[in-house]
Amino acid sequence: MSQWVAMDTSGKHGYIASGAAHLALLAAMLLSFSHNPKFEDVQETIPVDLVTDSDVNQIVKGDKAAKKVLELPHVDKVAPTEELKPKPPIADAKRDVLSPPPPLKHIDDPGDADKLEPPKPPDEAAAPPPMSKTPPLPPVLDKPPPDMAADEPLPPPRPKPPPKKPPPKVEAKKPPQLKLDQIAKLLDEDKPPKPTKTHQRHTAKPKSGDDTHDPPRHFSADDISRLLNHDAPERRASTGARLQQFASLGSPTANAPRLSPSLQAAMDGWFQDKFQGCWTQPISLPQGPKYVPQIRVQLNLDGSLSADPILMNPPDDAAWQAMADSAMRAVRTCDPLQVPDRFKPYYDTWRDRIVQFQDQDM
Amino acid sequence: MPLSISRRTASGLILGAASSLAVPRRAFSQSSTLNVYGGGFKPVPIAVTQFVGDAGPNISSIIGHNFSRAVFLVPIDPGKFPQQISNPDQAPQFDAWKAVNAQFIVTGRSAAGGDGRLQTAFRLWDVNAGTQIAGQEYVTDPNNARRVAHIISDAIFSRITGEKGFFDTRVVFVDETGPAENRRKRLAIMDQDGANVRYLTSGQDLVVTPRFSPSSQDVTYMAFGTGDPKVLLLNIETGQREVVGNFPGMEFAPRFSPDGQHIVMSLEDNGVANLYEMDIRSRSTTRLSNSSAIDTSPSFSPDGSQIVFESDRGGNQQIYVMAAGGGDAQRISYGDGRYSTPVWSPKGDYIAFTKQKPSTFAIGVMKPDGSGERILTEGFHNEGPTWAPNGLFLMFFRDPGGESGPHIFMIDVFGRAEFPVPTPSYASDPAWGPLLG
Repeated sequence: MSQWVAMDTSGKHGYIASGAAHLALLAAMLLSFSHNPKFEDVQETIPVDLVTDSDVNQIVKGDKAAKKVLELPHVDKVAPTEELKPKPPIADAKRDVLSPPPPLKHIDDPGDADKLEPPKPPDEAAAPPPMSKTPPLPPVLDKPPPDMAADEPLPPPRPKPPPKKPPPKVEAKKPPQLKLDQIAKLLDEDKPPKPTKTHQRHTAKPKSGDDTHDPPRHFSADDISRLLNHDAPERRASTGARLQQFASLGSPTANAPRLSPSLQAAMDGWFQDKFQGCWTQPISLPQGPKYVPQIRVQLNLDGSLSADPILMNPPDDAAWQAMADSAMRAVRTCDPLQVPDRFKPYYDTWRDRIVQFQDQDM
Repeated sequence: MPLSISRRTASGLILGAASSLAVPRRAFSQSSTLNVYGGGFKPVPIAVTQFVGDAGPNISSIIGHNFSRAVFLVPIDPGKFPQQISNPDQAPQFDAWKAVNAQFIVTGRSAAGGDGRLQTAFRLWDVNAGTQIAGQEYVTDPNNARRVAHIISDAIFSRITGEKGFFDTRVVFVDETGPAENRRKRLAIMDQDGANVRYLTSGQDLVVTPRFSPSSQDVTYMAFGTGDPKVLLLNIETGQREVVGNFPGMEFAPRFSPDGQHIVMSLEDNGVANLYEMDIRSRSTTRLSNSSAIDTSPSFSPDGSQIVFESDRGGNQQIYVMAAGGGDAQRISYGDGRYSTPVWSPKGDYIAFTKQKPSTFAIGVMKPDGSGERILTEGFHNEGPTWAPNGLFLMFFRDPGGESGPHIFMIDVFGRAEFPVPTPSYASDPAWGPLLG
């Protein structure tokens, strides 16, 4: 009995201990969840530019002792284009060429016209000189009032190109009229003469590439300097407007510096702001499909236009012409752009770009 | 804890992935093409140089004055001109003009020719392109000098902005003289800049709501004589006038259709007013609305397919649009206050209105579907908007009340600038006519 009591007592203790343990565990779990640590504030991400080993190498390459003589970025020279021109076939080159046309006849200046006066064609020069420096206005209609009597458009005072003289005609010689026996006689005379020995030697084994039939050159070791290229040494590369003449601290391989994303964004933003500031978009826009003028803008290193801007997509609908005109005007108004020095090393990325002008509701 | 770590990791991963994806894509897309978005409003600087010749200064002065009110152009102060133009046919020194920020230069001459007629020529130069972009010569009677200046102004405005001009236009208005309790109201006409005022009626009848035909030199208006008020049609050139209709009850708020062949107006009968359209030639009348309210101030859309009008059928005055042939009307005004006198823009893009709230009367515009409401001017007491033929400007009148009287003002459709239109005395109810050219 006492055993049962003892067992019962010990069992009760077990239950109590078990219950307490469970309670403790439950409490611990509740506390643990209730004190779930707060999220730490997410740190703001900061855009960084990765600088790789090659970037570092590119930066530190060069002659440390060299003098830094030019502020201009290292630029490269483009291969001369004349090498790409196809050479005329040799046979053609050797053919007899017609004698050059006689020089154009000099026509006296039509008078001491003002420098701004557009050049007149010779037939106008014969006429008496105009009273003013204006190009002749178109004839004026004369209608009774109250309507405007005439509204003739005035032509812009553009200089007129001098009339081109027609190229001198070369009269083809007519073949002489020959009789049959005369032709036969001539055919006998035209037979090629028998080749001489010297001739045979020159023509028997034409060397490869020696189709010019020039006398063969004789190599002379004493005249080796003649074979050397006497042209000034040239560097071939791809960027920049001017060739750098001196050794610099920069990269000798003449690669254009690479633009980091953040600098690219800053540079684009700068150009966007400038063009936006120069742009006055049309007052109102036509209905229908939207038109976004795209203009090719080519710039010099100093930010000035290197070529006239080109409208890449002229509008099909004339109603959009004002939009195209305004965009072209914006590019011209911005000329020259005062490009900051920090963007100049990346000239290759902004020297030639397409700029799109997107309208916004006024 | 594991949960929080995994969340943070996940959020960090997502952020990192997003940022790593976003930056290179943006950079890549912008490396080839640069997008420029239209910025704020900038008027175009233009230099109007003095025209050479005897009549030249007058012509260039009128053009300069026109542009000073053109909002979209801004004339450069002649004191800043880098060059005096002695030969208007020679290209100006573009670099010098660029330095004073001129985008366009106007040069010209005007003088009497051998036959006594005025010869006027102008050239418009684009400074940045370094070329002439427009040039024209006009020969006319010297009395038409002002019109020549307006025509040149229109040609230049149109060439630069791509929009139609509005300078060679006239405005019909109600000239008001006398004390407030006994005003004499005469119909008058003037150039859009207030010059050349001419009176069209003697002032015996009280006249209101003149409206210009969009296609001819006809004006319709309402006259209060001895009997019921009547709608009249007046030809400005000949002075001929006739009563448009002879209906029982009152006729009011007439307005032309875009083709000038019809007049739409209100006819009052037993306290309700409905809209009617009348063919000017045949005088046949068509009833357009059939409500037990007051429908008035009808105005056609420029294509003639719809009519906007005001009605109190919903309890107070609001703006409604319906088909030109009549039928169901759609309410388009839902702002606070009462809307009245809707006028459809000649371009079709906006409807101008007067908006009345306690103690304020505003002039505003909204799109034909009721969206994009924009108040151009607000105060006491603005009323009666009328569109310039190019849909870029409006005139209205402002009456401060009391012993004072109304004056006419001009404002652009964006509400950027407002100019008073000079009149000989008090003036109200302007109606802008079509381009004369």
